[in-house]
This record gives sequence, C-alpha cells and structure tokens, in this order.
Amino acid sequence: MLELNGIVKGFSTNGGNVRTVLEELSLTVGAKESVAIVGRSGSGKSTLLKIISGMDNDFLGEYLFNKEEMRRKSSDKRARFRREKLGFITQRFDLLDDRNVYENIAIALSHLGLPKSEKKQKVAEILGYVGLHGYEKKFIGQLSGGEMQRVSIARAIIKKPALIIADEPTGSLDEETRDDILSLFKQMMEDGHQFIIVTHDKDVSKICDRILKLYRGTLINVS
Amino acid sequence: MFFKELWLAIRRNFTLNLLAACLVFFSLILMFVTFFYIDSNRIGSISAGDEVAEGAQMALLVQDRENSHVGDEVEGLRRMYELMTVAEEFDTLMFRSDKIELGSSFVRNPYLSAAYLFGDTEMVWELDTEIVVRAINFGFLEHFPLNVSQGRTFEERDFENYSGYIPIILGSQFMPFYEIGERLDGTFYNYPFQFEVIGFLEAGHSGPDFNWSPDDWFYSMDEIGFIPFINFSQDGRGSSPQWESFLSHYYFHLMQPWIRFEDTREALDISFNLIASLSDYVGMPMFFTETHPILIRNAVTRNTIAMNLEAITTFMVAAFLLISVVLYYFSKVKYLRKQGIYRSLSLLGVSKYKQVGLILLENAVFLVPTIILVLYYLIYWSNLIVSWSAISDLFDKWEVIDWVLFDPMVNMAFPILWQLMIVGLAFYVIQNIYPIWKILSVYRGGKSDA
Repeated sequence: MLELNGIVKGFSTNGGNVRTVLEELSLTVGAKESVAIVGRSGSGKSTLLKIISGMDNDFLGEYLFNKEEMRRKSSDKRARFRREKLGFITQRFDLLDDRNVYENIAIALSHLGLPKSEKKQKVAEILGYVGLHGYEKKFIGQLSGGEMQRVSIARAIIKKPALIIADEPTGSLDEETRDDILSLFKQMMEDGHQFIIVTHDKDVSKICDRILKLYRGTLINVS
Repeated sequence: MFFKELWLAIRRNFTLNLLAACLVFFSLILMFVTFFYIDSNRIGSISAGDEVAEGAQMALLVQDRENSHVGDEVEGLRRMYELMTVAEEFDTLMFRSDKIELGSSFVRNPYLSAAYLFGDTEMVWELDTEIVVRAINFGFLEHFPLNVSQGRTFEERDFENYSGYIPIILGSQFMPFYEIGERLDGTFYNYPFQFEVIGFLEAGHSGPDFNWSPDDWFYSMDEIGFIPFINFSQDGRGSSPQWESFLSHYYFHLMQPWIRFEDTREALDISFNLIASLSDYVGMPMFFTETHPILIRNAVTRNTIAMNLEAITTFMVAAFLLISVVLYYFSKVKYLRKQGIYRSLSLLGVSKYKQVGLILLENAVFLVPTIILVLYYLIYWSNLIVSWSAISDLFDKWEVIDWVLFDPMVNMAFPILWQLMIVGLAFYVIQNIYPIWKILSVYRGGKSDA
C-alpha cells in the first residue's frame, strides 16, 4: 500500500550547514498492516509523518501510495490525497474550538457533497462507535481530554480512510483514558482500519503488527 | 488568554524583542512630543475666527487714481470707507502694511531670526528704529482676532476716535524692550505721533497676509505691530499742510480694503454692483482685483499643515514604527491563537493556497469597508490639506531633487492620498506575514509547530 524508498531529508541549520534527519530511509507497509514507529525526540518521526501525509514533498527518494508517485504531485493534489485517503489523530487533538462536535466531525465529509441528513446520520453512527452517543451539540471546551481524542478519532475514521496516521495519540491522556483509547484502537484494527502510529508508549506500539525504530535517520525493525 | 499568547510570542527571541521595546518607547516619545507641538501650534497661533472657517470669497478694492477728482481724494476715500463699513452685503476688512519710525532705537533679538534657524550661530545684535505695522479695522479683527499674551486687544473705541495717541499691539519679540502702557514717540507718514503699547501678541501667533498665493497667507507675527485704522477726519485738528499731507498719504496708502462676501456667484454680483454704485456716488472710482479663487478655510488648514509639516512627518514616521511593531506582535499572537485551526485544516486536506486565501479573505472582510471609509475621508481631506508648496519647501531643504528616484516620483505624480493608501496596505501585509509564513513553513517541511 505504502512504499518509501531511499528517502533523504535535511534541514539547514543556523550555521549554514545541513542537518540530515532521514538518511536513505525505506519503509513498506502492506495492505491491512498497522505499523508503530518509535524513536527519541528529534529523531525525525514528525518529519516522516509529514512526508507520508504529503505535507512535505521537499525530499529526495521515492514515495508511492497505492503505487502512485506522491512527491511530484502538486500541492492541491496532495491536499486532496490527505482529504480522501488519510485520517489523522494527534496528541493535541487539533479540533476547531469554535465549533461543536457535530461540525468538527462533519467537516471531514465536506468534500463528498453528501446531503445534510446523511451527514447527520453518519456522524451519529460514528459517535456511537467511539462511545460519544448524543454529543453532537457539545462544544470542544465542554469535553474532557479523552472525549476530545474520541472526537478526533471519529473525525479521522468517518470518511473511511485508507490509512490512519496517529501522532502520539495517547500523549496527553491519563492512564485510564489511555487504556480506553487503546481498546478503541484495537477494535478499529479488528474492524479493518489500518494505522501508522508514532508513539513513545510501548503499550500503544504493541497493538500494531510491526514496531519500527527510527534511529540515525533510518528505520530498524524491532518486533 | 491574549496576554499569555503575547508573552509566548515575546519571550521567543529576547534580542529582537528588546529592540522592539526600544522602538516602541522611541516611537511613543516622538509621538508624544510632536503631538503636543502640533496641537499647541494649531490651537494657539492661527488668527482666524469661526466665521472664517465657514469659507468665503475675498476681493481687493483698489483706487483708480487716474480717474479720481484731484482735491477730493481724501474726503472721497473717507466717505467711501464709511459707506462700505455699514454695508450689509459684504464685510470690509482693512489690512495694509506700513512702517512707523521710532525716535529711539531698540535691539532686535537675533535668536529668532531666520538666519539663526538655518544654522548661523553668530550673534548679531542689531539696532533698529523701524517697526513694521499692519493697519487694521474692526472688521478685520472680527474675522481674524488677535491673541494677546499680555495687555489687551483692540476694542471698537480704538478705531473710532483719536485720543492723542495711537494704540499699538506688538509681536512677542518686542516684549523684552517695551512694557504695557509705555508711550513711544515716532512718526507715521512723517507726522509725529505717540504710540501706546496696549498688548503683546502670543509667541508664534500667525496671521493672514492676503497674498495671492493662498499657501503663504499665514505667517508669524512675532516681529510686527498692529495699529487701528482710525478715521482721523473727526479728530478736530484743523488743517495744516503737514496734516493734509499726512491724511493724503494715509488714505491713499491704507484705504485699499478687502471685501469679504459669501462664496456664491450671486453674492459676488451684488457686492461688485454695490461697490460700483458707492464709488460713483462719492466720486472716487475704485475697482476690484479679480476675486480670490479659494476658500479662506482652505488657506487656514493648508497653512496649519504647512507650519507643522515636519512635525507631522515625524509623527507619522513614529506612528508607522509603533504600528508596525504592534502589528508584528498582533500577527504572531494571531497565529498562536489560530495555529490549532491552521493545523487542523492542513490535516483535513485544505491546501496551503486555500488556507492563505482564508486568511486574506478574513482580513478583507475588515479591510474592504475600511478602505472605502478611508478613501472617502482621504479624498475629502486631501482637497483641503495637501499643500504642495509646503512640501516643495521641505524638498528643497532635504535636497530631494538630487535623489535618483526624484524624477520618476514626480513623473508618477504620487498624490499623498495614494501614499497613505500604500502605508495602509503595508500595515495589512505586515499583519498577515507571520501567519502566512508559518503556514507555508509547514508545507516547506521546515521547523514548525504542526
């Protein structure tokens, strides 16, 4: 499904040198496979996720998604790729504070042109799935951290993406809430959702099919 | 919440923020000083009453000496003046410049001379015996009141009778040399008079000169004096060759009044016809110079601006600095407040162009009505305040014509209105640079919070 070959990515430093973050990195993720990526802070995990999500195409190497070359696609086409194929779950939830739960989730369907009634039905179903039945009209400020993450998950999966990218999804949750979210992730995987999870949390990485460590710019298989 | 984000924005780069704080402090000081300078000049120095600000036309009445009846000139002019001052169709404003010769000399203070202002630091204490005076009537005073810092201004009685002396109001530069109530011996058109100092004008007080160039209408009256235009024929001095000679000079030189009438074609016709009838009636032919093609109000405003142009420029530069720094931080805080939204939109697949477009659209909602309002007022005010002659003076001082870009600028004929619009747009751009730059940096793959 996803194939990265010989990815090289560097940043200019203040001294005018180039610091290489990803060095000849290669990764293949098969269909229905979920992968956890672990590594120290600053090892390049977020940079890798930006490349996978198509937000960064300024790198050397080859990136194929469903055998389509991604790097040379225009900004608009990569934005459409994110819109249609990917779902995101992040540590900070990245919800729109000035909108309610329904609007936060329904925004992910806006490109499909669905009638309002159908949107409402889909949002209600997905909220039931993540355990937030009847939360449509609540505003983000009224939710707990765990509830916000569930809304974020609902927004990520409502459009049935080919791949869910989760960046430290349990990083800002307490232990009990984290366990709930982990259970939900397991359920999602059983239901056919496919993940790439970047995490420091060993328990989170264990639910994936494969664990890869990002070390000195390249990925090492640790599971 | 706002202040927390502001603090976050400030503490990220200590050196830059220290520099910004210095700029803000410097700008505030500049603005404070120049604001009070402008304000004090504007309020305190212009000699113009409320009626003047309403606007009117002015015309100069000149004697037609070639066609006057020899021997009757003085009486004709005196009667003409009396009839004109009671006419309701227009106001008669006497304002003529002349000199009085003092019997004793006084020291003219060189500190405030033009030479000193332009860098001549050598102190030259010159002795002088002449005072330049403006002879004015009560009609003039009604429209252009004189502000005195000591003593009193003229009253109606000062214009009606000669009481053995001529009251005189002196400019502020004479204050070190004379006192209120002091009698000065001197001659006026070679006739001996006593002049009693009744007041001193405020320092920097500016009055009209009624030049043909409206931009030069107002000037500092620090170095001149004012005397009333008195109807001497009623003082009962009898006739002597010396007195007759004085009256002849007095009326011929001074009796060239301005008339002021409403700014309409009808008022102009009525006034001109009436003057023609009166001059026929008294046998003293007079004619108008062409009417003044401007509103007095414009001249007042123009001159106020011209006087303060440098201060206003300084004020604007300071304001620009301050607003730029503030907008830079506003821009940073705006990004910090909204970075969650920008990041969410990126993850949801909104392209960078759409996000930048959203920011521009969001600002345009405020910008478009603002531009319309600003345009309206700028067009309105630019007609009143733009003083190209004042600006050209400044150009001379700065030797702008030697600048490489001067010719292209002149050719473009950049009106001030559009310069201000560009400044406004610059503010708009500054306000949006930081969020847009941050959004683009996300897609560049550089360091970012996303």
